[in-house]
Order: sequence, then structure tokens, then C-alpha cells
Amino acid sequence: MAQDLAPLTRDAPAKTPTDVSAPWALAELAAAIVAIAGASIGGVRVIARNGPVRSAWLEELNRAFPETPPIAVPLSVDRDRLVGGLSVDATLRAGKPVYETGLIAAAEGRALVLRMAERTEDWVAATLAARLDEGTTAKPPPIVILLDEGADTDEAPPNILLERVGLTIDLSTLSHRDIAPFRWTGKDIAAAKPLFEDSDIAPEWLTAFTQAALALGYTSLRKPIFCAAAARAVAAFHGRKDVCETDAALACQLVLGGVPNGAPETSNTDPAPDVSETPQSDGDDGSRSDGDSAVDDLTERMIAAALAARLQDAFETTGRAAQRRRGGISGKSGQIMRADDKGAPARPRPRRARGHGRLDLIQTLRKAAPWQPLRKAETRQTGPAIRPSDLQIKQFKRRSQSSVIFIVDASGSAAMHRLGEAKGAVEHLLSDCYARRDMVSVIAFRGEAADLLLPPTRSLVRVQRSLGNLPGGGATPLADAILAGHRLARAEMTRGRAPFLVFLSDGRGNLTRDGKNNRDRAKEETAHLAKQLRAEGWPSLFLDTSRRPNPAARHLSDLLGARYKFLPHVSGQHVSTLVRDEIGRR
Amino acid sequence: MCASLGAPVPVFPFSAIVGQDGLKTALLIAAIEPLIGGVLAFGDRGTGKTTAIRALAALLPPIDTVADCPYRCAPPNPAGLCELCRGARKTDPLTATKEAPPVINLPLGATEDRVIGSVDLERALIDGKMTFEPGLLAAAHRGFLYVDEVNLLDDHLVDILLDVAASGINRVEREGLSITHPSDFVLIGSGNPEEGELRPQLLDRFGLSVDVRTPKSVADRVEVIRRRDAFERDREGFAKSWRRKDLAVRRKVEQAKAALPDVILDDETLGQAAALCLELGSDGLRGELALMRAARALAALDGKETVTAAHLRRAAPFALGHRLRKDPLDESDATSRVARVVEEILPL
Repeated sequence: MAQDLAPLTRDAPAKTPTDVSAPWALAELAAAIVAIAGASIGGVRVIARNGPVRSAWLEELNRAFPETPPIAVPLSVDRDRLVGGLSVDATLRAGKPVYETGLIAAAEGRALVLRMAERTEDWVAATLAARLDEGTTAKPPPIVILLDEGADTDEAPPNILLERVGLTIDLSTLSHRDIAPFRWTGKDIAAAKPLFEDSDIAPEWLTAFTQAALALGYTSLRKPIFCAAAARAVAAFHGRKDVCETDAALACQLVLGGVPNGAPETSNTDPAPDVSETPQSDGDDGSRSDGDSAVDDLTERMIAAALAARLQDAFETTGRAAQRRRGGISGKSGQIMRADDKGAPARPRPRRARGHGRLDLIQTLRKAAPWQPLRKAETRQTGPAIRPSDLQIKQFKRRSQSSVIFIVDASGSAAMHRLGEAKGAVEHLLSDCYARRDMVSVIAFRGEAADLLLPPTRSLVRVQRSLGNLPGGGATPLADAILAGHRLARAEMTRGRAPFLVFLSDGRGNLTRDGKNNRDRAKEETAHLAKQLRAEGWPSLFLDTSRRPNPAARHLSDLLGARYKFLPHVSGQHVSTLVRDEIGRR
Repeated sequence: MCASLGAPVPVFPFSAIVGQDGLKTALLIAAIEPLIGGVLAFGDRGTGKTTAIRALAALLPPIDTVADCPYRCAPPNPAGLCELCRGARKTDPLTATKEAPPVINLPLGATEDRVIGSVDLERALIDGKMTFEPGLLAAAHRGFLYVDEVNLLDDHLVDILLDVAASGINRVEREGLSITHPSDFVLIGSGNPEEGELRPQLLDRFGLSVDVRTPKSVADRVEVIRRRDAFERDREGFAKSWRRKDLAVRRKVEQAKAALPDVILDDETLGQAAALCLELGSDGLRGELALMRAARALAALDGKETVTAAHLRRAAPFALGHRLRKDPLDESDATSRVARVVEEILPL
């Protein structure tokens, strides 16, 4: 029965973060919400690896759409297939125009599943987002299921989609033992839908959701709207039209439970609205002052519900971090990228059976031309007789962006100076017009570990914000820094950018990777990691910031396969020029 | 992406948008004075930028067009007609019709083909004829072109937009085609400055810029959600309840457009405008032109015959906020810099 499904009831204590079964129960509820609320909830982001747990969830989800199974969008989908248009193959075979509706149109009111959603291309995301924005009741937009296989928060589906998908569930901590068939059926959904359509939501809930979302760092107003829809759906699921606190708490967990997407919270520059602010008098606030304290309590409880999921995440990320080390690099090579339709034209190539990319019409017709008289004699076709073997696809070359990764030694007494130089260099690199195409990031290492001070960005605003206060001093975890740099370089590579590492250090590390102060062991670890970097061929520059040219630095630089430069007291501008030259040289 | 899909679906009414006065004013200025050259809306997601633009387009008076013309020609002007219309005119008189100004979305990852137009593949394969299939630049003619996340736009698309926006004409030379067609639109870009900066050339092209934030007060935020919810449940009813206010705005826009050519900008005010621009160090002359045009539009909106210092004060943040020379050492943001200088030069 639908009744005993709520993992949280008002009487029973909330499940502790380490309770493993809660994620599956939440996922089960999320599927029900999607079935009931449909396009009002946007969709679900499913964080999980490809495996039995995710497959089980997807299969169970089908119960929600018995007549209309979900439609899958492959990663390599091309424009015509997604949006619809002339089907070239079918047209050629039939001899008259044959159109396909496209996946988005076919998924009207149905679930649209995006595999490897963290790799979704920008144009696919934008097209889908535009369709979601358009949505009318006459032609309901698709319900988007994002299968997010990303390893960490750096690899996430495009923000433009995350913004429009209401629910997030995390299956990554579950094993096949935690799977259980869903306890609801299509009948429960059918009973709930009319309740959902008819229900209203009390203004206290709207206020609580709005405040909770803001407090948790979500500036977009879509979040509270999704909370309201989710809460109503949960209430309807339990046979009610009125939202009760359990419903709202569950809604908050599902909608606000993740980490806010996009840039880090800007709440330190905008003062967060006063949570206990009384609204301006506009006639009906006689009872407001009494109701206010009740609203605040409510908001706090909503925030607590949402954070319960985040706490669980925090426990798990430490485990996930260990999984990140993979050998080798697969994917695009940095410098010249074969994108199918961007950049300056290169030589066209013959189209393969499953090819995608813009048809090079001129070349195709040229290839078909000599065969025309022969083919025309065989068939009575008007117009050029083109066979699939004639089709030529346009090829483009695009210079990929460089991504300069600064790895700065923020340990010891010279820390502030070095960090200052790094900041100066970054700002100069970004101010330079041509350099606007490059991304810049900064990893600082000191004390226990390496920190990503500035994630890859082209934005001066972001630089000033992130590098505003720079702490320094402490022991030198050089090995950790190299590893962090390596990781970031790999991430940038999969985004199609050409990473370029710049080390600012005196080459003397004294902390081992597990934080012990053991100089020899540290040297060993550093050397090992450095050799790995060199073996993988990452272009790097080593700027020795010691007072006198330092053999340790020289040695490390050689191990890294980096170009070595001695640079004790120089300006950020000088560093920036050096970096420009190096990139230009490659 | 096309503007008409059968019966028009009611759009969220312009007057029902909570707050966002800056964005609304900037859009009204651009609608009254198309020469101003477009609006750049900086801000977070979920702030209602697309809503505001669609709302404005729905509110504006419909334009006269030739029925079935893919380039949306204006009937009375024979010189400006496209080839198709000119050809059709020889045989029958052209039927005029009215339609709302189009709002076209230029999506992230749009290809050159989609934007400038390309060979009509169907005709080429079936009939063997090379004909032109108009793209988004044709669809946006006489309307609005909305570029979301303009700071992430591909460089070569940026170049195309710059060309066409400056000249008002789209020249297509590719795949054996040689076509020109008019493409006159108000360019509206949105973006999140945290994710990357625009090239200075593109930045300068935008006449006005405005910072868009979600409302600060909780009450306002809740009101936004309530209105959105009411709209979703009953679009017709909601639109109807705001129609009077929207019509009032339309009347103001029409009156302002009519009055604009006669608005006086005297020498003293011109001098103040120049002083403002000099003090702020805005590069080039576009800043002053934008400032003057925006001030005049504001005066026309107010129903005044002369531009005063008050209009300059209001127009300055829009026209100059994005043209300030970058000073990496200056931590203060554009809005406060403009406000500071406006206080000096034009004290209340």
C-alpha cells in the first residue's frame, strides 16, 4: 500500500545518514513523483555508475510509463535525429522526402533518457532546455532523465539542464543487495494524478521553500517552484490534497539535497535576505507577525531535511575519491580537435554508415557527377542520382583552447610572495585580449594538502573573488600538488582543452602523501609522480622561485619533463609573458 | 524555433513580472530606439530574462508583413522587398498581414548553417536545384534575437553576429550560393559573468547592459513563484487579468516612439554626457552615443520634450556599465564606479 512508503514520518525518527537503505527508498519515491508530476518537475538527475543498481531503477521506472516506454538519447546523436528533419538515407532510398520527427518531438510527455549526461554536448543541452522552456499543456515537453556517471563534482551535466531538472537522487553508494522491487504500481499513480492536478499549496510552504533554497545557496527561483511541485506530488501519492510536513521534508531532500550547480555561492557579496523579514504591509498581514516565528522553524526543518542527504554525500565522497585514479588517457587529443561542424574547413572524408556531421554537398555532387548518365539510364529518377557511397562529410579543424594550470607552492615564508606573483600572472593572462580564449586555474599547496584555489575559468571576476585572500605557510606537500595538477589536467583534456602546467616552487617537498613529515619518503613519492606526468606527455613549465638556482628544483623539473626557468623576484607580468611564449612554442 | 505555432499561446504578461525594473526599462529603451544596439543582461540563472523578452515582444504592436514571406518583408516599401516578394508582386498584389515581432533564440552550440542559412538540402537532393534555406538571422528580422550564455558563444559565430548586427544585412557566400537579405534585429544577450568574459569588441556592440538578480526580499521571491504558479494553472485567465496594464505599457511605447524624433538634447546636456564618459574612461565614442540615445528614449517614455540631467543619471548605468576600461587592481564593481562618477559630475 502506498501508505507505508514514507521513510520519514512525523513520529518515527529520521534515518541517520549512514543508513544505506534510505537512498533506494528515496529513489523509489522520486520515480513516483516523476510519474505523477510529469513535466512540472522537469525530470530526475540520477547519480550512479553503469551497473545493476541503475539498471534496476530504470526498469522499475518503466512501471510509470507502461504504454509509452522512455526514449534514449545516445551521446553521439546528431542534429537531425534529435530535432527532426529530412532523413537523408530514407529519402535517397524512397526517392521522395522522408522526414523524421526527431527524438525530442517523439518524447512528448514521455521520459527522455540521457546516458553519460556529464558528457552531453552543449548544443544538445541547449536545444533540450529551449524545448523544456517552451512547454505548453497542449504539447507537454519531455521529462528528462539525466544519467550522471561523473566521478566528481567537476564532471557534471551541463548547468543549463541541471537548472531545469527538479529532482536529484544518488545511487552510487548502493550495491545490488540494496535493490528491491518498487512497492507502487501504475494504479497508485493513476489514483494520485487527479489529486495532484487539483491540489494547491499553502503560502507558508512557499515561503519556507524559498527561504530554505536561498539559505542553501540556490539563487535560482526554479528550485522553490520544483519543491512545491514535488511536495504536492508526494501528498497526492499518499492520497492527500494538502501538503503536510513530511511531504515537504521529502521534497526538500530530493530537490535541494545536492550541491548547488554552477559557480560557488555568491552569497558573500550579496547579503542573504533576512530570513525573519516581515513582508511590507499590503493589507493582509494582520496575522503575519505571529506566523513569522512558525515560518522560521519550518524553514529550519526543511533545511535540515535537505542537508540530511548532503551529509550522506560527504561520507561517500571520500570513498569515491579513491576511485578516481585510472590509468591512461582516452578521448580527444588536445591540440587539434576534430569537431564535426566547428572551425575552419579541412579535407572532407567519405561518410561511414553511421556517420554524423554536416553533408558536404558540393563534394558529394562532384563525386556523383560522373555516374549520372549511367544511373539515370537505369532508374527514371529526376534530379541527381546519389548513392550513399557518394556522400562526403565536412571535416573541420578547431584549435582547442589552452588551459593553463598554475601549481603554486604556498608553503614556507616565501608563500605570500609566490602566491602574489601567481595572482598577478593570472590576471595579466586574462586581461590580454588574445588570451581570453584560454582557461586559467590555480592549485596551491601547503600544510596538509593541495587546494584547488581557482577552478578553470576565463573570468577576471572569478579570479578576484577566489584569490582575494591567500593564506600561506606550513609544510610542503609537493607530491600532492603534482597529483592534483595531474588530475585537473586530465579533466581539462576530456573537456577538449589543451592543458599546460606551470609550477611555481623551490622543488623541496617535505610532506608525504599521507601527511607525515618525512623528507626522503616525500622525495620518493614526488619523483614517482613526476615521472608519471612526464611519461604521459603533459607540457609543463617549472619556475624556480628559490633565492639561488636550486638543484632540487632543477632535478624535479627534469623529472617532470618541464622547461626550467630560474625566477626569484619577478612580476606577474613576466611570468605571464613566459607562459604565453611557451604556449605559442607548442 | 519558429515564432508561430498555430494559435498563439498566452505568454507571461510583461506587467506581471515582479521587480526587474532595470531589465524592463532597458528592454523598453531598446524597443523605442532600435538604433541603440541591443541589451546585455548579466545575471544568474532563473532570473526571468527569457520571460521578460518574450513578454515584451508579445506586448509590442504587431508589425505589417507580407503573408508567407520567409524574410518578413514590410509591404509598403517596394525597394526593401526580397527577391521572392519582388517576383510575386509582378503577378499579383501582395497580401499584407499582421504578426507579432518575432523572438528568436540563438541556442548554445548553434551551427553556422543554422544561423546564417544554408542550401536547402531537400530541394538540392530531389530537384537538383540550389536554393537558399533561411536561417535564424532571417527569422529574427524586424524582431529580437536572444543569445543565451553569450559569453560562451563560439568565436566564429560572434564574428558573424557582429557583422550582421552592424550592417543590418546578412550576406551569404557559401556552397555556391550568393544571397543577401535584410536582417535587422534587436540583439539581446544574457550571460553569467562568473563563467567567462566577453571579448571587448562584442561587449562594445551592446548598447545597454543591465545586472539581473533574483529579488532580494523573501516576500518578492514568494510572489514570483505564486504568480508563476497561477499562470501555469490558467494561462488565459492570468493573461487576461494583466491585459489592461500591458496595454497601458504598449500605449506608452507607441507614444514614446512617435515623440522620439522631437525630443531635444541641448548643448549643456550634451556637455554633461561627454564629461561623464570622459571621467569614467569609457573607450571609444559608442558609449556617448548609447548614453545620448538612452537618455532621449527615457525622456520620450516620460513624455518630456527635453532631456534633463535626471535622464542622464538614469541612463548612465545602462549605457556605460559594460564599457569601463578594465582595471584589475580596482576591486569595486562596475555599478559602484558608475554611481560614484555620476554623483560627482551630476550632483542631485
